[in-house]
Amino acid sequence: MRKKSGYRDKIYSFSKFIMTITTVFLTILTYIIDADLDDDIFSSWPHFTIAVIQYLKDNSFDSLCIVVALLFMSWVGLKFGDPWIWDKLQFILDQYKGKAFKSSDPRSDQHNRITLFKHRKFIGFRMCPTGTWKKPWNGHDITGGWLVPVLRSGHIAQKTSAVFAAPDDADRAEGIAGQAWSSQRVIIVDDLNPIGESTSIANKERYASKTNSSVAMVEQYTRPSRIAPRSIVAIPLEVDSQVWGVIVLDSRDPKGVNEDAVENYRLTAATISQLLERA
Amino acid sequence: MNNWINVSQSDVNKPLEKKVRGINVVMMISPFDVPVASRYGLNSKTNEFVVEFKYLASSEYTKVVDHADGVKFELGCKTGKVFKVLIDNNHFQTNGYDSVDVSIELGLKEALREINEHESDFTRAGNFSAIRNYLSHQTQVSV
Repeated sequence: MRKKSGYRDKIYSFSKFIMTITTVFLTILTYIIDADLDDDIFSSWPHFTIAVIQYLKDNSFDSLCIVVALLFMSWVGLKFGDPWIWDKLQFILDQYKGKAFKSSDPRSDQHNRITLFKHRKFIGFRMCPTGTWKKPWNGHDITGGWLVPVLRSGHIAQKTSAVFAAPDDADRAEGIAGQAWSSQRVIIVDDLNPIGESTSIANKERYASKTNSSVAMVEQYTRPSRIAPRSIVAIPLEVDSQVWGVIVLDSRDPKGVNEDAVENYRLTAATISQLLERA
Repeated sequence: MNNWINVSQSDVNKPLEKKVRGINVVMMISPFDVPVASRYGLNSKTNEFVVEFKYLASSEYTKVVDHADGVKFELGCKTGKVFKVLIDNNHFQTNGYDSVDVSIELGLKEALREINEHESDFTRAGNFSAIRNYLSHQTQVSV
């Protein structure tokens, strides 16, 4: 999950700067490597400059290695995405959250959330929410495809470890998010039974079956005295003509979110998609 | 071609209750698969009636899929979305329907029949449903 912090701005700006500098230096270096210092053109050049060129010529391999390493580092820095775009995406999610949920209770604001999940082939060494150290990925293939949270609305409840399996095999997709990903359709589930840490196993089973998850997932979610959402809408998100991930709207209100969140906010989804094209 | 007209979402993308693995869920077509606008017109050069669709954040190279019977579909190479339906007026007019309006109406019905018959050609299931709903609604309106 992306955190609001100034360090990403600095990393991005620094990476951009390094990328520009090293690209220019690489161009100069390739010219220097081929240059003949006995040529008349260099006769009038200051001795110091000639000495630097000679040094670079003598150590051209090392210089090239340093340039390539710097280019790679700056590429990694830029891979995190432009923080400006992620700030705008955060703003859009917050605005969307303010309008998409149906609730007149001002306290319910913190019970409604919008989370942006990105589909990744490889989950890395992240723990699946249902997992134990013995079965860290809940029996799923580590490279089978996962939905990983990258952004969430609001300034509270930012922390989430919810990761859902979203493999090509639709039958093995987890959660409402996984179902939306595999079917490439909007999935709406509401009127779910209330679930907390002390809820009976039978009710947890009922909730799990309605949300395409397992009892272990429900228990893991509710373990730190959390209350599970009672209405969920998952919308597949397309970026660059490919399904990129899923937007999940969830509410503790059993009728907190419904199809209006899809019908009335298509342009919001389109704006998120267009910003992600440049992220 | 006439101007773009917004496609009514309530006509094309109605929430449907479905049973997925024994569980009832409400499903809708993804907003990215539903055309936001359509326009139509007669191409006087080819004597084809063209229905064109516009989508949210999507533009790509297209290919034409021809099933004969006077109806062709222009599909996105990457996504498989339907960008155009091309109805050949010559085909319908040589079959005895000399009025353009009648041939367009028949063309839309033929397009709906074609899309239902060749479902496997339309790889994007959500978009397939949206276009089928659109054509179905258009043919009902024109009757």
